[in-house]
Amino acid sequence: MKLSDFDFSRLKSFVVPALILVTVVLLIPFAFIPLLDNAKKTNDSLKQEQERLGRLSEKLDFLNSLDEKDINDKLASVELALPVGKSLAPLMVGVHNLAVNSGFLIEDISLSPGRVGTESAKKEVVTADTSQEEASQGKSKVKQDRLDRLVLSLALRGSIGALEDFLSRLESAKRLSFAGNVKANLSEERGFEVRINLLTPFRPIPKLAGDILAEPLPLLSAENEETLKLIEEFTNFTDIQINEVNTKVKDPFKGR
Amino acid sequence: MAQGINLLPEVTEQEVRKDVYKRKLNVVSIAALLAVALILLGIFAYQLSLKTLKTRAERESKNLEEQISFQKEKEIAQRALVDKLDQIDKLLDEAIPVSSAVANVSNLAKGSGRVTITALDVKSDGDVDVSGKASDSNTLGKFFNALISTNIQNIFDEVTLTTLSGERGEPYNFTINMDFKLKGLKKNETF
Repeated sequence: MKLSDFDFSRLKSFVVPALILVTVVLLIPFAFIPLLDNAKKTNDSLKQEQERLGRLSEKLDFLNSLDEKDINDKLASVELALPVGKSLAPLMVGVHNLAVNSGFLIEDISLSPGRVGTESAKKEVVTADTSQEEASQGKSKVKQDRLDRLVLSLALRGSIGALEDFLSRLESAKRLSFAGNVKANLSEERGFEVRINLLTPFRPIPKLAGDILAEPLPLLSAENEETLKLIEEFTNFTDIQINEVNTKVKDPFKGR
Repeated sequence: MAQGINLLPEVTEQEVRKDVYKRKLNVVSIAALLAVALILLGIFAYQLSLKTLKTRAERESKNLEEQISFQKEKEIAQRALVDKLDQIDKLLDEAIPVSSAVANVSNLAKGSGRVTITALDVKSDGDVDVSGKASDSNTLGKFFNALISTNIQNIFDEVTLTTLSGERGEPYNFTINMDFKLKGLKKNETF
């Protein structure tokens, strides 16, 4: 049978259903599926927005319940233990006075500030027995903590009793100071010659990134409350008025 | 003549069925199209409602953000407080109570009789070297045993006599190495 002999008029009645079928088939990939995708994305973003709203609401309730004066008082107390900056002058005078009150004679107090201090602190943290992997973890821990330390090297002369007393006072002092290496050698004429590396940490305010507004507010844990009580009982040896004079040195760490 | 001539062509049963099928096909096609159109309309309406809800949630969030921003200083203070206390907790937990190491060595030496400490080296990892003089072997033994016994209290561990020298009639010179096990400054143990 040839194509020219075929009666196409018989197909007229099938045109409408065929067109409808084609339209329905085309609608699925070009309209139906994209619409569903859009609806899904909008739904996901609505869920995120609602979660964020929940967090904001919770945070606001918590903020409203906090007493700003109480927080500032506690922060002032904690600042004495772990200050934002080096607070060098009261620290050195305070350590000097502590040593003298313990019965030591001061031969020398020298300082390794800032980054150098942090390098020393890294060496102090990484112990001789630690494996390389643990050592790298120890080093990275110092970096991640962003905890800077001043290192004071003390050369003192006195007795074992004085050393015990000095270290004990340091360990219950508000400005946190930790004795690194302690060496005491008995000299017949001069008593014990003591060398101490004193690590005094300070913590600059950490920078926050990301969506801070919706970030939940941290709470004081039970351990934090205990620590707060503990450091409030510590002695403040840096509560010293130091009269500032113009030495014409802008930055003692860099020289003139 | 009674018989008439039927000029109408005969419609076969097949053709009647064909017409019925054609009509059914048209109805089904139109119904399918309407159904798809309804579904699409439904999805549109759903999406519109989602967008409305999202806009409302964003507006409320903005309002809450403004209220939170007014209390920015309080938030900064609270974050700084918790951050510092966490750091202090860590420092106090990891610190070695060197005063306790010195006190324990000194007290044990005094309790053992005529033992004189001539050198003491406490490292940051808790490794301790004690050098001194003991009047006689009994005194040295008493001191050494006292150091070993504190292992029960987990104060000194791996106590090793590293050097020993002495001449007749002279005190013994000794060096002892040990690990100081105590950690943390929240509690201090002195024997």
